[in-house]
Amino acid sequence: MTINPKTIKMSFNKLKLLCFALLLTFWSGALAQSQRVTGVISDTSGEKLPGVTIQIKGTSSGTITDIEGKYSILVDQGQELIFSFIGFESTSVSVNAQTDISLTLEDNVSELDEIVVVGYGTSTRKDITGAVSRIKGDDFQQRTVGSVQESLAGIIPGVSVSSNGGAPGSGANILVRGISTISTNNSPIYVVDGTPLDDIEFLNPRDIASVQVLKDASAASIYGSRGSNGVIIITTKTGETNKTSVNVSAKYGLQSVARRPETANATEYAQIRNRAAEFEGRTQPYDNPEALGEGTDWWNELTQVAPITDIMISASKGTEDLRIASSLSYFSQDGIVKGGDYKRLAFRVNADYDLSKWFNLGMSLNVTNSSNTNGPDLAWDLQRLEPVTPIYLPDFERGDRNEFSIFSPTITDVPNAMGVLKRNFSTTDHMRIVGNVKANIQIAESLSLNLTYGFYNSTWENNDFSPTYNIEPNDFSDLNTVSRNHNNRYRHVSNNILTYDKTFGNHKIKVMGGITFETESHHTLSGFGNNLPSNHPDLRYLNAAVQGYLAGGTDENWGLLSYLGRVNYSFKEKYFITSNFRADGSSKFPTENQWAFFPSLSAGWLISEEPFIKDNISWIEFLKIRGAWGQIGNQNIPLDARQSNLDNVYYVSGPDQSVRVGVAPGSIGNDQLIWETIEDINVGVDMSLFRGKIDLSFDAYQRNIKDMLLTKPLPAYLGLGFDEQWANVGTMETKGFEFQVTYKNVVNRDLSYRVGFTGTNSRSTMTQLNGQDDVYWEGNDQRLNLLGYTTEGGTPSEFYGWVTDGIFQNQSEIANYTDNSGNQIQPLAEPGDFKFKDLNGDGVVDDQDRKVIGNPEAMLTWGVNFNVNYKSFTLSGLFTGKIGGDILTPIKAYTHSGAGGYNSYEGLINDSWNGDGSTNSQPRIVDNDRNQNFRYSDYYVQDGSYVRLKNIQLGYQLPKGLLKKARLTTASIFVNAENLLTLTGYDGMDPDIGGYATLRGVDWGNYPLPRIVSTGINVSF
Amino acid sequence: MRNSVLILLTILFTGCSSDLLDEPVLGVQTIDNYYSNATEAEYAVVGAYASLSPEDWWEMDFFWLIGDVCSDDAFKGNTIVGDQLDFGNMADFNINPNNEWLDVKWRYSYITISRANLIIENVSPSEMDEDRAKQFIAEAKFLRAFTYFELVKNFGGVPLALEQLSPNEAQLERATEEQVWNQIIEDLESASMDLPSRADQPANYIGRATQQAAWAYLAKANLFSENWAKAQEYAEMVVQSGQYDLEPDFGDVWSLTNPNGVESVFEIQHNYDDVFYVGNALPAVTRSRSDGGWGFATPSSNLAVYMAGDARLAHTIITQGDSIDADHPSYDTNLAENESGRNNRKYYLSVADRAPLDEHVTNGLNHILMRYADLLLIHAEAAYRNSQEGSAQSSMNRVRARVGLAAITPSGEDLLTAVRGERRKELALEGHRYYDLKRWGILEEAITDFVDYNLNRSSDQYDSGDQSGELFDASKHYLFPIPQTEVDLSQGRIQQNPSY
Repeated sequence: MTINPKTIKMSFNKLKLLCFALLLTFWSGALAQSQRVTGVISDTSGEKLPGVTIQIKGTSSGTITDIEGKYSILVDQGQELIFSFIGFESTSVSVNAQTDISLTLEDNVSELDEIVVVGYGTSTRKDITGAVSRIKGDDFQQRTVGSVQESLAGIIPGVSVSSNGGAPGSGANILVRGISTISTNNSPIYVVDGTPLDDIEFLNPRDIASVQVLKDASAASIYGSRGSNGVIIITTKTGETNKTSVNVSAKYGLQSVARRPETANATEYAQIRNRAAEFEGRTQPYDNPEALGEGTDWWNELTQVAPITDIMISASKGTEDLRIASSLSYFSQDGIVKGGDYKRLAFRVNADYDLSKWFNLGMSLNVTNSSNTNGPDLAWDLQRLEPVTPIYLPDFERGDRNEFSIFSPTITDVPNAMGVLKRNFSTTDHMRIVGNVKANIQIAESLSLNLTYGFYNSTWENNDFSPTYNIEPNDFSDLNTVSRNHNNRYRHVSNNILTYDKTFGNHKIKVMGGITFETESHHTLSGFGNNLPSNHPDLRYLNAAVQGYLAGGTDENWGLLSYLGRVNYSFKEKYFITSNFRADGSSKFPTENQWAFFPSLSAGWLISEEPFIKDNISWIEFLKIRGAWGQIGNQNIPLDARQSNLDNVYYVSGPDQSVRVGVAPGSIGNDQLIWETIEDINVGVDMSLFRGKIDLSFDAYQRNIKDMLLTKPLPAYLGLGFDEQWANVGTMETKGFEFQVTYKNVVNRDLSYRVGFTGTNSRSTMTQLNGQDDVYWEGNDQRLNLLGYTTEGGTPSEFYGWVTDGIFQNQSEIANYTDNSGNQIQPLAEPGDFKFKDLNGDGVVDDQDRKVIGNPEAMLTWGVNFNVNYKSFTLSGLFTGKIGGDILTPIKAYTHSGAGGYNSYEGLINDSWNGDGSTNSQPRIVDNDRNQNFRYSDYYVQDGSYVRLKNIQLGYQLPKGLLKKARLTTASIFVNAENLLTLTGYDGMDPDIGGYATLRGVDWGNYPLPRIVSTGINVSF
Repeated sequence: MRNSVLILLTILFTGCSSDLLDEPVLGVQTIDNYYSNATEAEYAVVGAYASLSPEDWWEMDFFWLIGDVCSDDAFKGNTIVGDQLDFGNMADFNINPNNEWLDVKWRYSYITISRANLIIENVSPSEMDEDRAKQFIAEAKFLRAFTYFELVKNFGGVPLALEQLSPNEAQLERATEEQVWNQIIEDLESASMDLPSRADQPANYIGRATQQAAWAYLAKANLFSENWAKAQEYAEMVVQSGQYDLEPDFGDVWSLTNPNGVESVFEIQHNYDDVFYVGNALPAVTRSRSDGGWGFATPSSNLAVYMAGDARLAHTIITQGDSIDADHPSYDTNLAENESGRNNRKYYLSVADRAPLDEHVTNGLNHILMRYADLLLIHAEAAYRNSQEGSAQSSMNRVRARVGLAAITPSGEDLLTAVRGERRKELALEGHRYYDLKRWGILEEAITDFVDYNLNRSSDQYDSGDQSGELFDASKHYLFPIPQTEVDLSQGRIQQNPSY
């Protein structure tokens, strides 16, 4: 199979479609030679088993038993059927002439034989030699969340999920084994039914059948350059043979702010402002603070109890040779901070045809429309707005002001938040059409071919309008503006995989090889205009603008061509070896460096099959050790990183001061760029003990990232300004471990329970950055300046600042704080100011006296999930938490300083220094702070450890008798709560703070966490 | 049947390859082979001018205030310590090599130099309209000289990049101050040959460099490098060109309605545009926080006292309670957040003149870098040094006469003192003072006196007791430090200025 990608220059997508069409015409008449086998599957106690997987060995076709344990399948004579079901021993039966194969499955209580999708093929947990975790959709579908990412929190070892804030539609950050690179993108790739995607927002979490995570390089290397941040493989629900079901579920909940910031009221605010004036000898601005009372509670006025709704109707039906599943779902969430909302309507259909006994065809289609109002980011302003200012101007002051101008001017530069809210007209509509066509062809007995064509079309539109208004001289606009932006993405993926699977005596061998194509095209279009005739809602369109037109748009295309292969070999089902290989060619790199190669090798030893355990230690059901090595790559660079581009710039000249367009260098390319390579080793052990009551797995790994792709600072005299050049700079090492322990027990017919515990540890160290001693800063705060500190030998995004040493209580403490020669170290300080350590002992506190004062990387992120079944009741829940991991709180420069007219937290007036001996931790309140008390110091660093009851649900299954009368299969009602309880020493709103590699754990006054209490029903016909 | 499928698959495997690895970057021009014709060269020259004031307020505009706040004329201004902390540190002479404003000035200066170098290197008079090509190269040399002037007056000797280097070739060391001055003068002399005279400048080029602008900067560069004869000679060439005069009314010098006026020799061009940000940041940055401004670089009472009785005072400083215009019968400088109860009047725009949108990046007021009064005072100073006192007095008195001040005829040191004093009053708050004090060698004296005035002699109700300037250290503050990142990236090639 020699393939020269350059020989035929033709759009492969069009040709692929043509090929498929031709294929479809060829299979007709091929529907013969197979025979129907039916049967009933039950357990040893005679109970019928629904949901047993029946697979034709060596193929991916199969079926599942229905609610009465029945199944029906088309098979060839001589083929082998494998019956498997979680908790039971798999059994295989060769098909001869029999048409009824009914079986009793033996208990196994082990999940080790379940099918695991490993990328371009399947395996079983028993066979796997890399670090792969699998969970079922049922494990997370009770969560009241909008995104798949959020629903994965706390249940998969090695996967940590952090919040993007609770704004509707904001989703969550996922990290697989911590950070894998220090550039901003650390998101794993999602592979939905074989199609690699960056965006899975279109997917309703409840359409998911299973999720598997490929964590180490040996498992992920089959995805080559797409696998560097881990691979999350999602399999969606399909229809089941001989089963018809219609399910309706509905959930409605109310969200409220889980923990609000306690802000000072008007009286305390006035006292704080008076105190600042008092310390500085100015006239106190407020005569009678008490008379001001509570004042405006901005937080309360701009947050709300908001509804959340999640409704889904699904239907599926399967016959012997056709399985169809479809669903329609609606999700809507309003923001707990006023002004934002998110709605998603998703339709999905999945059909699977056995066209002949050797030809299976599957098709799926998702159509999802989401729309949201992009609420302004008010959470941080609400904590700083002064309570002495009313929201609205009194009627008599409004005069002829328009509806956007009736708000009171504020004292500080923080604008009136209600004004901001009312001026917000940013809305987004997002339509995604995602689907695939798959053909699985059994070419010969041991040889099968799998062809997949997947597509992803996304149409994104944003509309924005800002009105004319005038609140005060620094909060006005004399021009109204309108804009519309389109971003359309078209992605096409084609996988062509050949698999050979054969057993020779004790030797089992499986060889897979294939070629894949991936292209993405991103089309942008934007339009902007201003000076609309009025602010009237009907005129908020570009056509109404009379000046200030600006349009923009381009296409961004890239392609990836890959050759891949895998060999699995096992001996006596005890010794396993797997080797992956992938070659990737990416259009993003300079022509000479487009290709990279990613090999891996892994091995496993099923010790429990050895006689010395099998025959001697009965409580060990299963014991396997694994070891793996592999390489993966990263191609996350901008398309233009390889070349130097020109930008348009503007200057004025001429008698009318006209704007002229000019051209200037806009970026500096690097034609030497090569792939970033991630190499790791992984060791792991899987155990199942006491007849499956305890399942345990543990993995430890070390990962080295080299030729890391990052922008590299260049001497400024080259004239590139702040533009940096993409380059292969730096190496990083990440080490860690993860574990999962599950305990399940059936106490009696009425009571059973299950508890699972997952933990993840990942520590990263920059081993080399740019060159020697280089420092990479990320993030800039008005008060603290540069925030995230990354340097060689340290963790990316450490916190770096001064060290406080209590507060000067009196003048003599200031006078006595001297260096060896008697010079005062902080001559500008006054009593009540922070004492900063002179770390280098040079007699002054300056930049050289800073050090690493915090590390945002947690020692352990963990989750405990449980469920208890008692008769018809089910109680299930999830605790998540984190041990260690510091948080930096730049917001305190405002809320804890009392300076500048911003509001403070409630209690500052009493907590702050006010005379000798009053406090040693909270400085005096002062506007003109010559000591810079609120500079970047350990004052802002707090431990972010927490325990959270993330979700808990109590469900009740309606009795069977009642169901029969109502002709229902199952029906349950439940109450559910998200974020009910958090235990933490952190005093901000939410210790669960995300970020990216070089800036993490920074609390900017993020969107508050919602607490959601909901109730719902789930009915099947 | 199965065989047919397999044949088809063979076609599929071999046929469905593609050119998907060949994806050009779309919608942008690359730098390769640019500058090859007059149209491209023209775009590139506009691009080079655009770097004098890029889109955002902090990129170039803000630094023009340094010449005032690092002197006795103005303070940081905005009393919120954390608001532009590094700007406050400059004003307080609490300056370290990580100060962001030095970094910004340095980086953006070299952007101008790089754009100029690309034009000088690549525009070839033999490949296009020769006169235009020569003019473009001359404009690029003017901009390069202007920018090295900015660098040398702030940092001393700097790396002298005269062609576009690739990252691999970046191994420059600092040139000496003298080498930089020589390059500036060489570039300006060369530019002055091919730049159009102001009288001949095509209308759509108004605002771009002229022959007289090159001469004026030759006068100034020679003054700074103390080539007094050359300084006087070039200043006289500008005067004799007859292209310039003083605005009859001092209040019209800084005016939205008087761009490139009769007094203007070279100014950064701005305009309000509702699409492109080609505005001037300083009107919003320096205005009172009570009047929609940011309250930076507030004038000192020291300057106000110095200008007492001078007609220019009212057009230079706004004091708390002043009647400014119809909208501001009693101006509020926002005493709680204003270091000195005063604001800059030269950059002030009336409400009607302010941009309707995003004022801090869109105000249309041109920023004057060289005006005729400045040139006359350069001439006066050079003539004094060349012992032509009469000529010096006459230039100085021309500046005085415009604002109704009587002619004076001091001599010797008194004449020098008078010219310097005139310079302070005439050009106050236009970003010159720190650099003038420096080249006069009296920076330490002036700052020490300023601190003493504020702490001990001033009875001003707003800024007496202000400690700004206390940290001045003559051993280092005659030069600003080279940005630390540049020193670090040079791996030892670029040495820091003394004492930093």
